[in-house]
Amino acid sequence: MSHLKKTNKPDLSWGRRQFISRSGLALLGTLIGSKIVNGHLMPEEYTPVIFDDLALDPMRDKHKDLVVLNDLPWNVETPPHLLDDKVTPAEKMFIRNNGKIPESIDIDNWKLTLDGEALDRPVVLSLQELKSKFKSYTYQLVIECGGNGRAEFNPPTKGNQWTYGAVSCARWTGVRLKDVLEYAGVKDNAVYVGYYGADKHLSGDLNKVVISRGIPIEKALEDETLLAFQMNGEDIPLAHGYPLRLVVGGWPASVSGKWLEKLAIRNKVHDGPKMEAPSYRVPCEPVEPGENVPDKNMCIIESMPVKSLITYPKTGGILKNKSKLTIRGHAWAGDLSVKKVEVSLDFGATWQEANLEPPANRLSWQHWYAEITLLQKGYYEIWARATDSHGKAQPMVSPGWNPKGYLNNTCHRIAIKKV
Amino acid sequence: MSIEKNTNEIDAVVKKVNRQMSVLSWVMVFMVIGVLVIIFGQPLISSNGSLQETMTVAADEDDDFYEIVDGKEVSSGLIVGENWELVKTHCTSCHSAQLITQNKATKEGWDHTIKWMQESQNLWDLGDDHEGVVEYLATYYGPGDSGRRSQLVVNEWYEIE
Repeated sequence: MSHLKKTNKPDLSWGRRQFISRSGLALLGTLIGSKIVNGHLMPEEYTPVIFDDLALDPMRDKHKDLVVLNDLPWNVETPPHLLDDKVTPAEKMFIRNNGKIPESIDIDNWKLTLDGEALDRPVVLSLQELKSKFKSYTYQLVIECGGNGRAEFNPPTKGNQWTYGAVSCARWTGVRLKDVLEYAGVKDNAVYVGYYGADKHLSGDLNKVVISRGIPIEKALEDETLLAFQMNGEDIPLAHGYPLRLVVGGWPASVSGKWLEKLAIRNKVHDGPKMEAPSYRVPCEPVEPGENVPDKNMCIIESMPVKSLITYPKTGGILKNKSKLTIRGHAWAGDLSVKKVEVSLDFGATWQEANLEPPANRLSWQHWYAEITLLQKGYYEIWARATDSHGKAQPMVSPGWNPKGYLNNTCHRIAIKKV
Repeated sequence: MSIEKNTNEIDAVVKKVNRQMSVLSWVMVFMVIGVLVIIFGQPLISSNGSLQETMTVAADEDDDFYEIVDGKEVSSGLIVGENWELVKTHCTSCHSAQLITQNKATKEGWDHTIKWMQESQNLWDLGDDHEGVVEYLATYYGPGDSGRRSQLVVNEWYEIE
């Protein structure tokens, strides 16, 4: 099932004639084993390049062990052991797309438009203005897909079957959304901020918005809510929202709008595609697994629940001729912080508290480590569970089933043998 | 004016040269295919296929050639069972088959998903194929029962350094 479909398809925007003409030229070059002489002098439209969409293949820059769940649209997850870095590098960052990655970005003419009922008039800012008019900030922020963990819900729920790895914590640099909102003259009636990006709908319908979600004004005004133009000190990779992304730590990743072109400052809850039920919503009251839930009983997901990962060792490790092992990982808790991480070697019968570091900043994940001792030979599972600052811990079995399979924060488990 | 005229002339010449080279290159492609057919003979011609069909395969292998391994069609990963081609036809022009193969649902669940795609994602009416598509999906991608936690599956055991 990990079969990778060929991705270097020709750009569909080309006419057939043009394609034949271009491929003919390049093919000729290939056949005679040399470049077309003076090919570079030909007018632009005749440039003999067949596949110029190689850059659109996000796997080109990814670690080879990331798991492709879907290549149209691109949805790729990171195995837990590859999330061991304290700051998630781009090559190990999961991808969750609803539509197609924009095929071209005009960086010089990129504009961010702010409009909506809670502004007196629209405000348009170029990237350059955004960078020069406002102070920049850098925060390490957890971005986790609302459907992370979906694979383990029973009855199964539809969508990408994420296991553990639809989460990242990179360093994002940008301007504060609150500074930009203030500049734009946001009014007291503001309730919600919705985003619009440059991604394209899978159906090819250019008038169809792929996804347009958002956040309540209170979340928008938090210091850590950024309009980011850098990730880990570099331009944001194309697959992750280049050149501009709304980055909202601790909430479902779908509110961190990529390829950001417009923000709608609304006087009501935003109503863009994927804001409506059942998308990114869970039953307002708990339901029996498999139950049909009417749309009106589905509530928008806000802060993500407490969760942790064991990032070292990788599952399947065999410990030879020794008993001690230092294991480690990260823990995070949506808008809250993590106050405790525990590990168990006996399926939750006993727990040992891990050493827990403070976060780099609010809404960053926290690192933990613990030295464990395996006394007997045999098969073990290491379980990790985190507790948030309000005292809520991760469950050991899957929590509240919901129709779309969101928010599964069951404790992470790895298998270890001592021989 | 004269510069513009020159440009137009160059443009015309380039187009002409380009057309000629294009024709020439396709002639060469057919020659190469011809040579390959002579060298490899049988394997290049499908059991019921003509030479023309073989060339279609060579030119556009993704569309007209199904390789089946372990009961699955290789390019899509779909299980080859009754009506699988309907699913490939209707479902994989917008999204990859991976969105199907990683999911599990009852007949009702798949039907619901198709209707959702028709209502909101521009999926067309499947007409007479609808029933076959749903039947296939529920048969080969139906729900199992994994309880509230599944067994850990280790793909590869390794020694911890």
